[in-house]
Amino acid sequence: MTMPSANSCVENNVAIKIGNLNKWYSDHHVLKDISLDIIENQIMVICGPSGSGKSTLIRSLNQLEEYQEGDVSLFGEPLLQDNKSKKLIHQTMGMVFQSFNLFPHLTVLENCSLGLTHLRKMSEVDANQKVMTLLDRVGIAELSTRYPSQLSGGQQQRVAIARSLAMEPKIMLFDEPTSALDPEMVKEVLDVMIGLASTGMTMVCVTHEMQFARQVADRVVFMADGEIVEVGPPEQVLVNPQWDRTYDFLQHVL
Amino acid sequence: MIQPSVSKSSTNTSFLNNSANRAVILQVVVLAAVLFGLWFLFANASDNLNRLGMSFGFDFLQVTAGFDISWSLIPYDPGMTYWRVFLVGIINTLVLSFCVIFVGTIIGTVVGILRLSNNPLVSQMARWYVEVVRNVPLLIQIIFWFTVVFSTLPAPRKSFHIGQWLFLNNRGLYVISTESTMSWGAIFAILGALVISLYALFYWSKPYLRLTGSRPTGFYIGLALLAITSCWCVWFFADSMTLSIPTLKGFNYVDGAFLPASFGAAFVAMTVYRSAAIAETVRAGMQSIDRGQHEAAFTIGFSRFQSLRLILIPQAVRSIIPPMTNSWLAATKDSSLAVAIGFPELVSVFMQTSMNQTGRAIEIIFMVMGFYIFISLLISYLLNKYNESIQDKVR
Amino acid sequence: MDDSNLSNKPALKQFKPTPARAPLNTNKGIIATIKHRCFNNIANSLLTICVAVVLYYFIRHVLDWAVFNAVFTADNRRQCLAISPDGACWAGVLSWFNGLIYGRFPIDEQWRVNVGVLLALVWLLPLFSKRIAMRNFILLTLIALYPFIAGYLFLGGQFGAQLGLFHGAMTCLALAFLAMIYANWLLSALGHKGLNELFVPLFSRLFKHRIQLLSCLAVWLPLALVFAVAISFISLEPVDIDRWGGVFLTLIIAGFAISMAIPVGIVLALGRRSQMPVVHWISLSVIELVRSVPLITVLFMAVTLLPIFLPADMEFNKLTQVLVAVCIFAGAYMAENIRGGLQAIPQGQFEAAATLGLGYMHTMMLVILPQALKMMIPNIMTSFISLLKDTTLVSIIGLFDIMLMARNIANDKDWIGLHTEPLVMISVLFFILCYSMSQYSLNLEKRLKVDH
Repeated sequence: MTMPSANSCVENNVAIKIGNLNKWYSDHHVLKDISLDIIENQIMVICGPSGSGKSTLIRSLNQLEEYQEGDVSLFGEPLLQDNKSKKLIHQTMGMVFQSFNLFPHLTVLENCSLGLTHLRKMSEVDANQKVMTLLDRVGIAELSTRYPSQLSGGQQQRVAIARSLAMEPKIMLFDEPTSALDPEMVKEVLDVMIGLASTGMTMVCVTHEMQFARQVADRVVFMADGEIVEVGPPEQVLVNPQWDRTYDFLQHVL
Repeated sequence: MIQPSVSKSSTNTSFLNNSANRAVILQVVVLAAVLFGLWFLFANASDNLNRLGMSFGFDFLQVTAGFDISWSLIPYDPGMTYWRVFLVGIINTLVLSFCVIFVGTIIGTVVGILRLSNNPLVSQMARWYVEVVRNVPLLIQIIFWFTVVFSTLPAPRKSFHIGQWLFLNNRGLYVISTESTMSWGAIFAILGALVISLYALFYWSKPYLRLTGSRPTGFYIGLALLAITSCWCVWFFADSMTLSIPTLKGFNYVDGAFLPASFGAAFVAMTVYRSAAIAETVRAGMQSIDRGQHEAAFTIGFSRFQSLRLILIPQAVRSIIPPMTNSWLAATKDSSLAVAIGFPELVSVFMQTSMNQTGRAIEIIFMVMGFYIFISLLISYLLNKYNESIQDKVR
Repeated sequence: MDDSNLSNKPALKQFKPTPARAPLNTNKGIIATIKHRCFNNIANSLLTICVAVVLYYFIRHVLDWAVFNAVFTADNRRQCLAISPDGACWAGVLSWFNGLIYGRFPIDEQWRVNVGVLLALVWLLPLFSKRIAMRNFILLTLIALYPFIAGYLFLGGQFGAQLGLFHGAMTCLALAFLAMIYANWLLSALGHKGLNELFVPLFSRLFKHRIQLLSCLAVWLPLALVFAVAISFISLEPVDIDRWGGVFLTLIIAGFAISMAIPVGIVLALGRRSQMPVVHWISLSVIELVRSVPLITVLFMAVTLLPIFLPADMEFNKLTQVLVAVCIFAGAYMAENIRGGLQAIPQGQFEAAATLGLGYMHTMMLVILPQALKMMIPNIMTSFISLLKDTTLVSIIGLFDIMLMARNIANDKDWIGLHTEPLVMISVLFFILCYSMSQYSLNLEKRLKVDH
């Protein structure tokens, strides 16, 4: 599948380059020859039916999953599956999970500042100050002393976004950030993501929110059965799909 | 759940079919049966005691015991009373249990974490350690350590020794010790005061440290003062102390501090056994943590050790504490098995020797069980408090 | 977005998934895995090497002692030491093997022990067959009736003399019941009707209710009579209870405790959950008091206090006292297990039973307990294992269970001082028993998880 990149973004660097990525769960071939360029300052939305490997793909990018074959490079730096490249990944990528994965024994503030104080060796005052501005940005500054269990799902997910942002990643990965949420909370999380997109953050989102994809995505990837079916700007993939698989999926989702 | 049906049906059912009445009747019957049972038992007991010419009462506690106890932390000699024997038993039980709990928890935690190791050799070794230890009865293990290991150590004349400091033989461990003219109470009080003031100093300066990254000058002045005080105390203690060196007299050593071989065997066996149980608790607690927590910690960039320390262990502790406390309670109860190798703990000195000598079975069993029940109630009270405190904090 | 935007269906290209293939450079080989998991960094490599070295020396020493340098045939310990001073002397354990298994049970009568154990297994066997209905009922009869057969076999005695009328009658009923189960099982396997079903047409004419029960009795009672006649001709040599010992005694105590623990536990657990204050508090205090004291104190209590608190003309032997103690102890622990299982039953089940109009007994027996017990099987197995291990404590108060028999070998003048080998031997025995039980319960747990 060739990849027509949008002309307006030609001057941008490739943030992540994926070449012929293959992954197996024992005998099950879950990612088949995935090749994809993620461009800096762009928003890429990955969609597809469940079991199509889109979560596995995004988790392979920051090496939460091992892959058996393929080359991934981050800003031109080839990533091997070793500690050195893991370190590089942690410095450049943040991730937001479907199930939030906040640390239940820490307050909202501590959740976000833990990485700053222990990894960036920031003093607690500076860390707290920084976290508070971030929490303010995602609109939950007043909840900073609560524990995760005292928050709604939408609030928890916003904390999770703030926690990732605190580490100043260059790329943000979103793994179905809204699918564990009640419908009325989806919007508050999407609003935060849209706000983030407007700052020029490089984002890769696995999501079923087609409205969101149409609104902010620079490119949409449609995956099925562990491979990429279609890549293109949202008005092409979501409105004029070239393949029947995409068409069927959109029929069901929309 | 029965109220509505009762009010409706009670009008047209007989007295016996009314469930409220039935409950009352059942309770009266049960209570009567229990009371009758108790009366029956006590009537028999008084008959039997009369017949045997025995009496009931705790007056025997004031009687001189007349037998020796091989090891005691508080001063004891055969001229002391049965009450003293009871205290010696309690203290020996508590000391043994405490040592077992302390060391067993450390080893158990390490083994539990090793079981989750990615290295198959390490995790399998930890696994088989746990499986072997917990599938062999504790009593067999205690007797094994006693007869096979500790009793086959050399005789006192051929002791293993490190200079004149430490002697290990089949009677036990003899270590050089100090005797002080000062009372132990005073020494512990001063030591406690020092530790508390050190802790207070750290506690007081902690907010300052968190805000600025360094401790205030007052902290260092306090630290210096404490150091001077403790130096002075040490000098003062040293002045009042004389060394007590174990020396061979006849077939045995005298002087010095002494730990009997039975203590060693019971301690090692129970520690090993307890560590296996605690390893399982720790493993279950660690495994109960959601996979997402590992992943979140990984994506933030914490190393394996950091994520264990900052994220996984603090969470695991919450689910581990209740079963761990029960395990500690079980360790206290298990310490009674040391009776099998003659370690002078509560059951051995009081329930066996004292009971054989006085024949006061009812009183003695009442006292021994009372002690264990007290410990168990105390621990469950503390556990409830802990659970409440967690509930307040996080869901 | 509406459908009109997606209306260019005819022009669509057909998507066919690329066929899956196997990885090219598989690093799934054993060596790669070992390298990846044991030698992925310096610290881990060092750890691996240290552990491997320690393991190697440990295993080599154990094998040297237990197998390669061991002595299997010798007349006494001195001979053992002469043959191989640093090997195990299994000859002593072997020469005491019979004692370890049967205690001091007379050798000529030991077949009775074997038959008794065999009968218990035979009684359990139908539980594993899916063809047989009412398996819970069979388990119940095992607990209620089997002990009479066992008592008869192990104690011996003549019908009417040492063997009392009640005991004898129950023994016959038990034997008849076992025979009936097997006859019915055999017939159903051959495709015939069960024995008792022969009577159903007859009884359905004579009676209105409980036809099944009556036809069952019609088979059972005559069979029992046959056995009674048979038994009255056989006289078994009486064996004193003091001669019981070894694995045999351990199994008796453990088996009794296990079979009594569940009924006692159910009663106590239901009592503790009861709304009635008197019942609740009595059950609660029994459970908590027993659970907070060590088993050894309960055993001491049974041995010293039972004679004081019961009428002077009652006769006791140590085994009965121990059985009473172990039964209460196991029941209290089991009660907590069962309470845990009851708590795991959702409130909806109680409510559903109430809307069906079931009373307390029916709700419990038909709806709640079957579910709770099923859920509790792994925990129940765990307490069985600890019960089995705890039976060794009876050696402290002087019952010749396997533990005391093993320690006794060291007092035999031929094998004086032979401590290690018997202890290792019984440790291995306990390990095999307990480990297989725990693996079985793990298996069961997995199966139950799949079920739900």
